[in-house]
Formats: sequence, structure tokens, C-alpha cells
Amino acid sequence: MRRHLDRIFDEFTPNARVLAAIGSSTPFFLLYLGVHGYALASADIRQGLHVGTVIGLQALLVLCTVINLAIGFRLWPRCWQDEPADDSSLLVCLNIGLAFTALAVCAGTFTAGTNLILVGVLAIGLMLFELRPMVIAYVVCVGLLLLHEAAVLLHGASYAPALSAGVFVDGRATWWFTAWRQYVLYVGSAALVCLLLMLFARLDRLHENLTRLSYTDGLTGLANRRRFMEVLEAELTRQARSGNDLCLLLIDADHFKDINDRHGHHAGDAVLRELANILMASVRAPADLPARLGGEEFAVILPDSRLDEARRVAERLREQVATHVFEDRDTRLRVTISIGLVEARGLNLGALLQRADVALYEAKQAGRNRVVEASWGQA
Amino acid sequence: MSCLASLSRWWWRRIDTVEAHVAERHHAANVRVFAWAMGALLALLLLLQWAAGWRDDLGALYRPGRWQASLGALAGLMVWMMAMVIWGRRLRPQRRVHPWAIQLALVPAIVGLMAYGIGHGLHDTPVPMIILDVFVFSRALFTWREVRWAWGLAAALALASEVLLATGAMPYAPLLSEPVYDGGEMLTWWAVWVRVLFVLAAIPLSLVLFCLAVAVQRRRAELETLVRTDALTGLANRREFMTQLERESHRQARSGRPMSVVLFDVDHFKQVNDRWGHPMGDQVLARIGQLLKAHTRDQVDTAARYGGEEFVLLLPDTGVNEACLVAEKIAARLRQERFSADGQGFGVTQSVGIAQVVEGDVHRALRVADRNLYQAKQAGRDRMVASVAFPEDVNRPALAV
Repeated sequence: MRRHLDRIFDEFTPNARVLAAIGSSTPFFLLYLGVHGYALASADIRQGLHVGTVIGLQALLVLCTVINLAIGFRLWPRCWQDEPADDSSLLVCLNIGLAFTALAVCAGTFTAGTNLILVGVLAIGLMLFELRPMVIAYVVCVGLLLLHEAAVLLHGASYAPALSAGVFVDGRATWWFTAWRQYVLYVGSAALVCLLLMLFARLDRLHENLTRLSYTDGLTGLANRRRFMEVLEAELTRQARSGNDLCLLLIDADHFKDINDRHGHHAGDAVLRELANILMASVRAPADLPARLGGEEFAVILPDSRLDEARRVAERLREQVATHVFEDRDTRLRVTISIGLVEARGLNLGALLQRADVALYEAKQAGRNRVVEASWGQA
Repeated sequence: MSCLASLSRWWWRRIDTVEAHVAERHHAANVRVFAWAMGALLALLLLLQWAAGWRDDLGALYRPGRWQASLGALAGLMVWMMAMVIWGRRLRPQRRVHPWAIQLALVPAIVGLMAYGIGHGLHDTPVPMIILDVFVFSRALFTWREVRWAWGLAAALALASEVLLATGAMPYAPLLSEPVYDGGEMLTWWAVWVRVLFVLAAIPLSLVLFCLAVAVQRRRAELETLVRTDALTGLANRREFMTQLERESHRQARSGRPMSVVLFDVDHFKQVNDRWGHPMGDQVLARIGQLLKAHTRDQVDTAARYGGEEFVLLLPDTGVNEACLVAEKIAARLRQERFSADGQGFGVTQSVGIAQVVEGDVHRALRVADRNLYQAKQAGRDRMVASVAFPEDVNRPALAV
């Protein structure tokens, strides 16, 4: 259900949106035509209605349905063509909005659940269409409502023009009026609540995706540089307060440029992904944070780890990568990594990263495929 | 006009702040906001109710004794909400509030409002719309898991009232002595009352709906740019480039017009990173991104970061010679560029591989461009090598520039 709805919102072309609006409103128009027709035919119910107004309403509904269907037939062949929205979306918005506004006004703007249905229509419209046609339709419909209201206050029109005093008999609402009011109220509010829940759920989901995406590296799914920096900063603050151990591994794939040049970027990407998987699998899941800093450079934050533990982790990692065979399509490669290891010990962010960088550089100089600890003599 | 534009900018900034605030769900603050808004709403309802008792003939609209009782209930609820506001102020804004504290604000307010609605009649008053308003508001501030108890209770209450009504155990609108709307002209008081309630409900509700729609649209747009662009340079990312490449290849195969791909690789970038630090390296990449964007046609060409320090241009309607001109212009601009770090200046160069697409086979063109780039590197860097990616001889000697 959620998938289908997301598809409507994300993938529908402007034309398909117009068709969706027509498709969802026309059955209701037909339903109202039928119900009103039945009411007009029944002598009992006719007592409580202003027949002239209801017939006028019927004519309006027929007109709206015909216009909608005409637009629908025109757009049908071009449903999935990705062309910009033309005026048909505005026309459909106005059409549907006016029909429901007329219904609400005729049944009593303030004293019937039809106003809830009107709001529901607004909610659906806002999900489907751009802002421009919706704002125009909204202004027109509200204008119509206010116009009628002004006429009522100036005694030029009657309130709830479709209904007469006959809807109440001996001070009690007639059975059909009660039934109609209940139907409109509960169907209207149920539909509106569902729509609003969906809209909010969608907003929450979008927000979540946005946060997640802006914190992960697209290629490997690890944390990205931004997240790495934020977490390291937070961990350093925590470490300064609690005095717990904190270690950092800076990892760089050896001769990665050659892999890219010799086997193409596709193979390079595959190697990076596999490296990320190995990293992910060899650290303690929620506590340690593996990240891709960019290019072929990775890092792991190891909170609450002593230097000897971190050394073990780094050695294990180096060994695992060195013995792993990286496969991509028909190429099989071996890759090694160099690791710079540093313990925080009250360093600030910049100094820590620099020390790790120096250690990594030493590892590269010393022949790669090894772990080097940052020494304390030099900075 | 500019005044209007700045006003609208201000407005959207406000909306953004509110939206971010709501999305972060800082609970203590949200409980306070909810209690404030409910307190204000209840105060308005209380005022309206109280005004009805001002005159004896209006007071007679309520059944004897019920008017005072409902007034007392509304006042009690309002005091409760004010107490929640004061309590909320004492909490630190970012702290997570215990779940039941949220329920203490939500349940009395929402159930009380539903009781108010049933008392005045749900079928012929705008109270249901106000209730929906509060529903929207509560859902905007809290998650569905948090609001579901209050709303479940309220729905159960409405259902129970309908059942009692149908069996005749309870009259419709038990607070009132006569219906608000009886098919004829409304009493002046009710005419005012329903209009005030309607405006109170309809304006915030439609405002929230519009804001919600805008928020969703903006989030979607943000998400789309995030998925398509490279964060550092603002160019298209590799995935987006591949999509464009696929699309343009079909078009090229159909139209037969020339098209070229240009691969750039920054020379000795590793040394820039090692010597001047990663932030400086990032700065260089961002600058190259700007250069590429400035030298390509909007909507027509695609400039993308291909990975690491490698960039790529896709130039439709451009033959290999014109592509060389474009690439040379960019390379020349980059050569003039001076970057400075630690009081020292340095410059960077790039090697370029160019290939013209033939018969819509973009992947072969990409391979050829890659090979040309490799040759440019071999030949001493800071130069370009270009060729047409003919199918028959991929190893045909390239034209070095």
C-alpha cells in the first residue's frame, strides 16, 4: 500500500496526476448524482428539500463530470509522457473544488460534515498537484463561500439553500437527514484522518531518508566524512570528561590508483565496497564506527578500546584484507592496506588526525601492508 | 516587488525553522507548545460558552445546570494545560520526556474536546473540524505511537455516543435544550457561534495543509539533489552521470550528431593531499568543480565528479575538436589558479583524455577516453590526448595535443 502511494507521489507524470484526480472524484460525483436523484424521487424526502436548488446542484455535478471526463479522454493517450503540466491541472482543480464547495454550501457551510469533505479534497489535491493550481482553486472556492455568506447576512440568499424546514419534524431530525449527516461526518473525517496520517508518515520518512543519506557514503554505505568528524568530536569530548580509552585507525588501500588504472573504475569501486564490508564485519557493531573519508581512505573510531586491543583489531583487519581475494566480474585481485593507529590521550581533533596521518605515512614508507602506531616523541 | 520577495523569503525561513523544529521532535518543547495552543483554544471556547450565559434567553439554550457544569469542565482543562506549560518550562528543551508525560497532556485535552463536541452535537456543529485541527496539530508535534492512545479513546467516545444515541439512551447534544440547526433560520447566537468555531478551525487547518504539502515537496527536492549530486563539488555524482550517459547515448544513436566525453584527472593529487592536508585538497576539488560548471552549458552538458580526483564531462552536439577547445580552456584556467596554504602558494594541473562517441556506444568511448588519459599521464602529464572512438580499432593511435 505504502509502496503504491509513494509511486503515485514520486513517479506519476503531471498528466497521470490529473487522471488520478479525475479517476478518484468521478465515482463520488456519480454517487451523489444517484443519491440526490433518489432523494428527489422519494416524496418523503422531497419534503425536506428545496427542489429547485437540488436540481441546480445536479446540473452542476453533471457539468463537472462531463468536463472531467472530457479532459480525461484528452489526456489518456499521453498519460505516461513526461510533458510539463498544462492548464488541464488547473481546470480539474477548479472543477472538483467548485463541485465540492457547492455541495458544502448547499448543505449548510457550518452545520454539516460536508465541510470536512471539502478539507479532505484540499488535502488530496495538495498531495497530487503543484502549489499554483491549488492556490488558485482554493482562493476561488473560498471566495465563493464568502460570497454566499455575504448574501446570507444581507438576506439575499438562504442558509443551506438545498434544505428546508422539513428536515425536522416535531423538533426531531428526520431519519434520512440523520443518516445523511452521520454518513457525511464519519466518512469525511475517516478519509481525512487517513490522508493526514499518510501525509505525516511520508514527511517523517522523507526526513529520515534525508538525515540518513546525508550521513552515509553513497558507494559503500559506511558513515561519510561529515558523520565521522561529528562522532569523533563527540567521542573526544566524552573521553576528556570520562577519561576512557579511545583509539583511531586511519586506513588507506595500497596502490589503489593502479587498480583503477589497470582494471577500470568499476573494479576499483567493487574493491572499495568489499573493503567496507570487511571493515563493517570486523568491528563491534554499534560502538565502533567505520567510515569512508574519501577516495580509498577509511577510518575506524574505537571508543573504550585500549591501545593493545586496538592494535589487535588493526592487525586482524590488515591480515583479513591481505588474504582476501577481491572479485569483480572476471578479475581477481589482491589488495593490501596500511593502517595508522593512534590513541587519543587528551589530544584535540586536529592533532589526533595529524598524528594518525603521520603514522599512516610511516606505514606507507616502511613498505605498506602494515600497522604503525603513532609515537609520542614527535607530533 | 522586492519587498514582497524578501517577505516571502522571510516567511519560508520561518517555515523551515518550524519544520526543522517539529521534525527533530524535541519532546519537552513540543509538550509545551501543544499545551500552550490547547490552553489558548480552550480559553476561546470558554469565552464563547461564558458569553452565552450572559443573557437569560441565551442561557436557556443550555439545559438547566449543564451550562455551569460544562463551563467548570472547560476551566479545569484549561488550568491543567497551563500547569503543563509551567511544568514544561522547567524541563531542559532537548531532553526526552517520559512517555506518560506526553500522554498527560494529550489524553485530557483530546478526550475533553471530544466530550465538548458530543455535548454540543457532532452532526450540526463545526466542532468535529476543530477536533481534526487538534488531531493534525498533535500529529505534527508527536509520533503516531504517541498520539494513538488519545485518538483511540476519542474515537471510542464518539462511537459510544452514536450507539447511545441510536438506542435512545442519550439525547442528541445532551448539553443543549434545542438543536443548533433545525432546518430553518438559526438563532442569532448559534449563527455567530458556528461561524466563530468554523473560522477557528478552518483557517489553521488549511494553513497546516498547505505548509505540509510545501514541506513534502521541498523534502523531496532536497532528497533528489542529495542523491544526484556530489556533496563536495556540487557537480553531478557518478550515478547521475551514468544515467545521463545512458540517456544521451540513445539520443546520439538516433540523431547521429557528434558527442564527446572528456575525462580529467588532477596531476599528483595525492601529493597535494599529503603536503597541504585534506582540507586543501578538498578546496582544490571544489574549485575544479566550479571551473567545470562555469565552462559547460547548462541543461545540455553534464559535468560530474567521476571519483576521487577524476572528473568527467559529457558534451552532446560536440565533436572531438570542439571538445579539445573546451578542455584546453578549462585546463588553461586551472593552470592560472593559485592556491595558498601555510603562506605558500601552489598550483595544480590536470591531464585530459577525450573521446568522441561513435554509433552511440558510450561505454567504448569512455574506455577510449580512459586510455587517452592514461597516455596523457604517461607522456608527462598536464596535457591532453584525444581521439574518435571507432569500433574497429580501439588501439588506433591517438592525436596528442
